[in-house]
Amino acid sequence: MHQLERVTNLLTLLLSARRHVTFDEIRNELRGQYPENLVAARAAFERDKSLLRDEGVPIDSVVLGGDQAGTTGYRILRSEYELGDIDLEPDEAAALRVAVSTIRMGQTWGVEALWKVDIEPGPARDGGAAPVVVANLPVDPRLPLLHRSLASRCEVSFDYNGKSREVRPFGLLARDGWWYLVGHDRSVDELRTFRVDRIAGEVEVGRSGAFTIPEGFDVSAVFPSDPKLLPDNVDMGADVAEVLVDASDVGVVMAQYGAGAVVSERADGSTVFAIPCSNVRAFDQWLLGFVDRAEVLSPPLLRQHVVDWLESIGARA
Amino acid sequence: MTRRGPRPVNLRLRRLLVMLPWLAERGTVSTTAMAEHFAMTVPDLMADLTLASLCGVSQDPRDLIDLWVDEEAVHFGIPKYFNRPLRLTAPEAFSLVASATAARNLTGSDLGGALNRAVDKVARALGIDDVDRLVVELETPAAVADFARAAEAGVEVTISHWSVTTGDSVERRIVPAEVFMESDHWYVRALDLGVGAERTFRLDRIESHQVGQTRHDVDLGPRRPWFSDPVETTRVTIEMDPAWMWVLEQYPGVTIDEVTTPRPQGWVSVSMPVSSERWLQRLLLRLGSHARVRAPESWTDLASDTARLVLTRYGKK
Repeated sequence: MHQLERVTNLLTLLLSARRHVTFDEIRNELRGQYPENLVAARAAFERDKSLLRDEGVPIDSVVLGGDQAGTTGYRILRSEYELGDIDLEPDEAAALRVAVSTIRMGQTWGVEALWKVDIEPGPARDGGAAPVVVANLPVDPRLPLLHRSLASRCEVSFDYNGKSREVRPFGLLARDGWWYLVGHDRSVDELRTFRVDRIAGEVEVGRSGAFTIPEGFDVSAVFPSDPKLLPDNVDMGADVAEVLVDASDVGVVMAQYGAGAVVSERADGSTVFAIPCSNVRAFDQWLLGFVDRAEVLSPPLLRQHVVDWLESIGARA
Repeated sequence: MTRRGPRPVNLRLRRLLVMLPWLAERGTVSTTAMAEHFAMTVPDLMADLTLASLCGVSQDPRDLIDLWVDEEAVHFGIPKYFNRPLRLTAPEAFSLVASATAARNLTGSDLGGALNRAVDKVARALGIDDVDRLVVELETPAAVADFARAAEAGVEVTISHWSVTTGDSVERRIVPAEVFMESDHWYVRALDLGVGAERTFRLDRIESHQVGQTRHDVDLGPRRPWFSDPVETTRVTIEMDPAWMWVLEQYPGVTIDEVTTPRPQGWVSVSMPVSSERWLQRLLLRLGSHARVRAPESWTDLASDTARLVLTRYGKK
């Protein structure tokens, strides 16, 4: 018998059960579907249960009492299994469809979710034409778990930068092409931000309802809008640098920072801009993208830092 | 022709559990329409539904899932087991909420109220009381809406585009096909009427644009992977400190196709396609002394030569 057929039978049995049923009872009901050998049958049953649970099927298991004392009983509560009525209006369903086809995360999660929530009979899907606007969001396999932990107020623990962290998640933020988890890090008793793709290994999840999120907490507000504003503990003597940009590249910087960042314009069209530099590493990455078409004028420490960086490349050659 | 392997059991089960309640809602559906809806082939659909029709709590025909398949259509009788879809899994819930949240940011999106209502209903069904804890920030320049409208209408747009290679702005006539965001940058993929070929332009390097009236019939087909044209790329081998791999992560489409055994000092060797010398110069400056080019030989001194070039701006030789 094909495993899909057996596991579908097991699912119908557990969904229909009015009480918890034991492995022996399941084997008896699904006679001939599990191997004769008890050890092999048990192994096959464990594989089936694992497959169902991996697919999100909530199998409830309890250790029974009475004349079945010590054995485990299994059951699926229909109320736990079934997705509740969402009652999307046609325009709401259509909006969700457009959202999922426009925002892509390199996975089929969104399409599978749509199949589930957009269940009511309605107009056929729009002819399969590709949307003209598409945004690719980064994805990390741990995001769904972090999202669920956030929604259920579960503490999470993981390794980050070589240290173990116990974090109460307050928010998830996608910005500048990365996902960030913002939360209270109990290990240091402070609010901390973690880039999700830099979390090492698995995320362990604690019990639900373990904390409350402070009133008015705004994940966007606690996170600087420009990576060059993030502090990185290198004091360059100022938080804003004056950068001379060649005329050829002025348009690009203007598009990024606007006319408000212009300090002065020179006769040849080159322009001095005021650029945030609190995060020196982010500033370096931005500046060096111009190669020889931009130059730090001040602060002097930052200018020297750039010279040192460039000389280290030449010295190594 | 290559023959594909068997479909994994978990994927078949996942699809079945969403198809059965969908079918129960409709009663009778053409096999072609159903296969298209669930992105399957008709033979795969018929195989899975035929198998499902043999499943139930027992082999008594009255206990089996009440469906039958003929050549044209699938018919569903009395729902017994799968009246509602399985609740959303954590990845599905995350994907739906993240996609909808992100789509609300898109400039020119007319999803507005319908999407907000849909998100609220989905969140309620998932037991998420505050969807605002998940924030997706997509900065969408106003030009996105202009280029999207031009792509939908098939009209040409005259742009002034700044080239990172030459530092010059060049006027081009293009017919947009798609506007997309990747790694936090927006791009327009278009037919460049001047060269009669597909080109992709970064939006923040388009200094001005003028939407015209002339219509063109353009079908560029699906987007190809970045750097997919071997004529336009050179393969480069870089040895680098693995702690600085994050610099490579910032580039959309950079595919690191080989990372070899660590070198004695803990460095790794990375092989990747490079689109131009200027592009590589920027990358090498950003990596600083943490990387060196090993091949091709013509670029082994590129980092130090470029560093010296930039140092002249700082009065150094």
